[in-house]
Amino acid sequence: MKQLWLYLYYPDLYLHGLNIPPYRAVALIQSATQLVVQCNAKARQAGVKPEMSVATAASLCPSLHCLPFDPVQQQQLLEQKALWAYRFAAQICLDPPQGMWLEVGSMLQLFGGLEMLWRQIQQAAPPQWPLQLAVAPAAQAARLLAINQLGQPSTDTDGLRQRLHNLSLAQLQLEPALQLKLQRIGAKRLADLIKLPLTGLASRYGMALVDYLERIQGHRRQPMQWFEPPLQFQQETLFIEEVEHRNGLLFPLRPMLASLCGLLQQRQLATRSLTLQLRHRELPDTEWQLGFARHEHREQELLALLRYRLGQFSLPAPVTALRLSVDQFQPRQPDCQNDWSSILGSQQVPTDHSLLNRLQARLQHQQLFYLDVCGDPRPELAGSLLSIHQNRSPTPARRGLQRPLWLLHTPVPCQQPARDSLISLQPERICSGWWDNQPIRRDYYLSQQQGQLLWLFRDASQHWFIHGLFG
Amino acid sequence: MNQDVVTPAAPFAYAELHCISNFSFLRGASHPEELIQRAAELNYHSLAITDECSLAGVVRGWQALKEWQQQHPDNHAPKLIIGAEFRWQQHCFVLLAPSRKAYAELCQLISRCRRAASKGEYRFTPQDLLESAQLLLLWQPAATTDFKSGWIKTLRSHFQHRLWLLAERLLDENDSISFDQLLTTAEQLQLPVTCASQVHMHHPSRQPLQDCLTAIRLGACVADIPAQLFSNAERHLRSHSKLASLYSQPLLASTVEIANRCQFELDEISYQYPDDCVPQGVSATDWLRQQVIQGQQRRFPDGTPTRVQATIDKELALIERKQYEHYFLTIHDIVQFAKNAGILCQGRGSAANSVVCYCLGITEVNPVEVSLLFERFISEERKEPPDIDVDFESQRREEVIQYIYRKYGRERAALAATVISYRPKSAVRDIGKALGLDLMQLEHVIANFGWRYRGPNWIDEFVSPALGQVALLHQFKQRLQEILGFPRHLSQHVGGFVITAGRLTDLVPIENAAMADRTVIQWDKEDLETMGLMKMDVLGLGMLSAIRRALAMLGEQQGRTFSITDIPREDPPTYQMLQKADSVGVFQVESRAQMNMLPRLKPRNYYDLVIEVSIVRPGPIHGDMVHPYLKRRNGEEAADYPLPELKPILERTLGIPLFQEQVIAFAMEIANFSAAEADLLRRSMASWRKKGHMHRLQARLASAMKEKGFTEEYIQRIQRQLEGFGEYGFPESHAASFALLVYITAWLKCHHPAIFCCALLNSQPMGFYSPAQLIEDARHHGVVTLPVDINASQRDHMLEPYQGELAIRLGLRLVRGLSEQAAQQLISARPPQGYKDLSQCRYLSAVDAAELAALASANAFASLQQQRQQASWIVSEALDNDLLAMTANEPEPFQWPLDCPNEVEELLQDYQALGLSLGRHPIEILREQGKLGQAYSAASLKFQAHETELWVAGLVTCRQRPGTSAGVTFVTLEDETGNINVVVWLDLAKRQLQELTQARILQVFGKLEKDDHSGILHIIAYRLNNLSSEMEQLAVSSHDFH
Repeated sequence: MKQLWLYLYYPDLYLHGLNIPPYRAVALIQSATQLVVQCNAKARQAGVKPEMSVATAASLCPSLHCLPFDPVQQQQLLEQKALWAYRFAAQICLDPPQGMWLEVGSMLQLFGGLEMLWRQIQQAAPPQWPLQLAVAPAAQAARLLAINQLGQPSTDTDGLRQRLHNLSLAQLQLEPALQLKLQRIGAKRLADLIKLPLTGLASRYGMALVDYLERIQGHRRQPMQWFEPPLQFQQETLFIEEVEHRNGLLFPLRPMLASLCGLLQQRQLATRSLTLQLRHRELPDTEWQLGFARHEHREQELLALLRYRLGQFSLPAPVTALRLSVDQFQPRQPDCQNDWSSILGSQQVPTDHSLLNRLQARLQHQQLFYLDVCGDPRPELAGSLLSIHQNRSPTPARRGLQRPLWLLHTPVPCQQPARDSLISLQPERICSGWWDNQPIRRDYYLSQQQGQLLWLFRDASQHWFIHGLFG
Repeated sequence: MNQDVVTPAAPFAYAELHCISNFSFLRGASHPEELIQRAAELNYHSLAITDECSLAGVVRGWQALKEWQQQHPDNHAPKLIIGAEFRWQQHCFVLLAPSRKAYAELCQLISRCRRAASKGEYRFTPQDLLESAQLLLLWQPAATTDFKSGWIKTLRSHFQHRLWLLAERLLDENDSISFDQLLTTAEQLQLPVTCASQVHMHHPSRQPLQDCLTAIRLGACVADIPAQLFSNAERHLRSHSKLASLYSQPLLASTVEIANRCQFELDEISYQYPDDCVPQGVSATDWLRQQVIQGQQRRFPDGTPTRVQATIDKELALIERKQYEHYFLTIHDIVQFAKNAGILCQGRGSAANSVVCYCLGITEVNPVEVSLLFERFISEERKEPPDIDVDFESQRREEVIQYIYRKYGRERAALAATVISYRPKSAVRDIGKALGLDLMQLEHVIANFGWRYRGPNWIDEFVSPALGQVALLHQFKQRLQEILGFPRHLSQHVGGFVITAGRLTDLVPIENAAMADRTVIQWDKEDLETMGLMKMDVLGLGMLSAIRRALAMLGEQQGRTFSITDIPREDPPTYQMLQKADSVGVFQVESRAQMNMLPRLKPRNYYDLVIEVSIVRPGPIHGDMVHPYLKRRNGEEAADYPLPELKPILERTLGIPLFQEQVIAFAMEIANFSAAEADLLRRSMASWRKKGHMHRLQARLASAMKEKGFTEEYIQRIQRQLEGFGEYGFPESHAASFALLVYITAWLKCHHPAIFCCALLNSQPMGFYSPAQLIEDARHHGVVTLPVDINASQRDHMLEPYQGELAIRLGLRLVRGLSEQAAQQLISARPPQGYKDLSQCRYLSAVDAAELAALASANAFASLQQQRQQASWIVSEALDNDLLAMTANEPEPFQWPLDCPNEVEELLQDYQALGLSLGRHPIEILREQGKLGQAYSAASLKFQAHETELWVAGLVTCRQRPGTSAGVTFVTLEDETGNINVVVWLDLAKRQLQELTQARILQVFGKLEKDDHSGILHIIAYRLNNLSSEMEQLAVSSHDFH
């Protein structure tokens, strides 16, 4: 059976994922270079082109809407498309940023021939994403024909060759510098290039060009790396003897955790949730979702966490089988354990992540907050509670904190304090916050009243308030 | 005290001793002028400006003080104390200059710290303080200071009776504790204490801006860095009542005691001209006279005419009275160096237009011929030093600069600074970032804004709701308003040198510039003017290189040296050429705007050229003076003078004020200004728009004009004209020198077009036109250009006899992708009879493959019977280093498999490789191929009737950047017969923006406008067609024409 490659090309893949109404002109901008990466039809009409600077694009199209381009999202979209394409081929190779190869030689019979397959793909493709198809025995040929919109549902050798030979240097997707060199020798199309001796081409313009030309013509194979569907972990242990107590689950969990951690290690991943599925003889399965505050990948830590969490559940019935599964993975955070242990000289000190995880395992989800000292001059905003799921910004240390222990949520109006109650006649003056519509202008004083040290302030309109108490 | 005192008498005397201005970049939030003004209003005893390791703001402060005193002669004015602040670890040291000597110490200290660090930074340790013997030191120690450490003991003993601890109450969290601590420390150490307010702004209302500056400095958004912001606005010039509540009487009194010890005033600095150019034992006056006499013998070999001699005597007498001899001699010396080194130069400026300068060789403008009088430009009552700028060939200016450094040393010569200030775009970017606006959106609006058409209300027009929330935008607007004009950093002036007799660092600190080997002083040009320091502008002018080259070629052709003086003056054909706007390549008058003016003004003599180069400038244009002048010149209106006493001033321009000097003289005559006031008026006009209120002198001029019966409209015009001069001053004295260069280049173009074009090509990049356009223009003047040839070309473009004429042989320098070094190698390795074939060339020159491919692509091997594509293929192969391979590795002959290129492909490759083609004009090919329809050629337009509607087409060679909101776009099209001027009105520009901005070949349908008097032709465009892709299509589609 002959190999046959179908190439799916999604022009402006990312852009089409944004659901832009057709009357809006939109361009995606590479943040680092401030160049247009993709733009929609409306923007193109106004003369906007990829590789153009934002400034030029904006002057051509004053209503242009500029959005940042996110290559990670684009890759995810492409993977989504690959998942979709699985229904047409068993072997898929991604060709980022916006194309992929499907091996269809083995599928033709199943779909009733190339034309049928072609039609089915076109019909099944969501209209939101324009799709360009091409098919050829050589993978690179299929790719180039698809990108240049020259694909046909036919494998007629002569027709294919003709279309390929007519491809210009630009259509061949050669680097501009190389295009220039080739133009200098008067080469304009693939047909010209293949008239030249290969050894001569290689010694002048590099092996890579020759290799590429050979692959386009199918004289050399295109190396393929098969797309793997997203990761999942699932392992099951059956018990010969039913387990009646939750502690009995820990022992069989250990090898499963070990293999999970092996996988995590191999792929350099971590996870924030495990699913335990318990099978019972009579009752329906019990499913326990175990979430952690922070990513984890270390076996000992995971085991400890499971131990804590299992303590909180009770078994509804004896367990016949135990399945551990993980379906969400995250890339690993830089490992900070080594830093800690080198600083503290001890392996015993838990990292702040594992401490957090253990705390959270003990407490309920919402009970854990950071007290974030953000250093805003305004006392109300100087400290704020952040849920542990919010990311903390690095905290700059504000000057020595002369602040009362108890801060009132809302300042309470009060009488002007007696002069002799004031600890110092010089106030602390706080005047800040003009930028977010909560400006304050206050003079703060310490006042000793009935044995209690109060934190008072006078505002710009000369009114007095109690704002805090010293413990 | 006087009755009409504005400010209340101070209850006690106070001197603020610690105050930074916005010359502590991105820290201080007020201009020095604002600080002075506010200190005066608050009736301070003194104000010390103590910028961080800098004296860059003090001259402005001093100038503001003088102005305030002039306006409030009866009030007490604060004393300005000069000082600087230095930060080290957590310590802050404030140094104050009590005397002239201490001031010099301060300048040297700053110079040392700045020179030890890279641009914009400084390196300071307390050790540096020990060099000072007179400076006063206020010291705010770090909270954690160990007062027993050795360096503190050293410091204390070194600064005995000159050291105070500095107590500053800022009412922040730790304020009361640290204040008490400091007082205790002082008591323990028995050190005197004084107080200050660490002033960062003149008024607390600048706090938001100060926060923004902090954010900009840290590259963050205000809301993200609350901890780095000051928690209140206390760092301002405080009122007496506030001060009294914060500091004890003895503390307040101590500030005045310190201030009273500071007796130094900035005007004690007296500038000494360098006297290096005068031999020992001769007085400068005698030496100058001798030099002039020598010059006279050269300039007037048949004896100096009596009238000229009288002028010289008058000038020398004036120079002697003003003691300017050293100035003239210094410039004479530098110009002499340039002449000996073969560097062409030309002086300009008020003093340059004197017979003395003509005799000294500083200028080639013969003042006798053109009746420009030195006295007209130099004012005896003004204290200002004379102004001479010297333009040198830009490619060789560095040699002159290095000569100056060599001759006077780095201690005595440095470049003036240029203060880079916030302008609209930078202000929008930085404030936008500090406020956390969406930067991408902001860039978008910036790109779209059409800056050049915006007036003083641009901020309101710029800020649109799309940028953010209303409240935030309100802040944005205010901060923009405030930050505009704030200094951002010091840069080097293009060529303004300061040279002194003694050490320059006794006068002003020196710091490093961004360029290696360059040092700049901390004052800019205006500061120097204020302080009366001599400055000399050493500028670069590309056209001088072209002129020198042309003169050299001319000399070679005629077998003698040929200099500017050998060019006949007032040559009629030269003026006839200019009147036709045939001025491509001619200095100054080659721009589109000038080409429009030439046929209307029709210059007939040298002085007309002076007017020509001055009239297309903001001053006359803003004042609507251009059209009235042209009318009178063309005899449509008689010259007349608003007032008889103005006749002497306005006579030379038919009653219309055109020059800056005329408007100044006008103001002096009408409003009785002194020369100094008139000059101040002009200088203040530049900032008028920014400040939004009329300068008092401006108001005085307006009311004086009204009194004399001028119409409101005329008054407005004069005001606008002054404003234009403030924006871009281009005085007659400079125009006079430029006009000479206009004449010289025009004469060269008129009589020696091949030489002129060749000289211009060798001086690229410069001027308005690309090599392709220059060659095209030369072709229209019958000059033949020969292609780049491996055996015939030098690196530069050369002249070569060809069919009895001189033709231009293009040089290797034109080939894109061929380095200078490779070109040299190719030429030096070339056998006397030339390379015999390609492989010999490769082996002998050993130039690498990519560069040879560039050369092949430029068709430089055509004379070796080598078709360019194949040549490209052959040379692209990397060579073995084996020399024997030369014979062993002959390429096997093989049938070249690719098709021969057609004419269009050849043309495109020419453009690719050289940026121009000597083949047929692309438009000619398109026309022949029927791609242009009925388009008329440039040459045929003059036979069409006015207001005919027709098609034209051409390469787009010039395009004024399209304005998005107002104005016209001018497009120049070039076809095989010449240039076509197209006018695109805003309406069409908006509709066809893409064609307008992107097209390289444009077809235009429009209406022909013809001016019979001047012969100027325009096409008013109705429709634009982009034909850019036609050439590529011809290249790929058809093989049927060659």
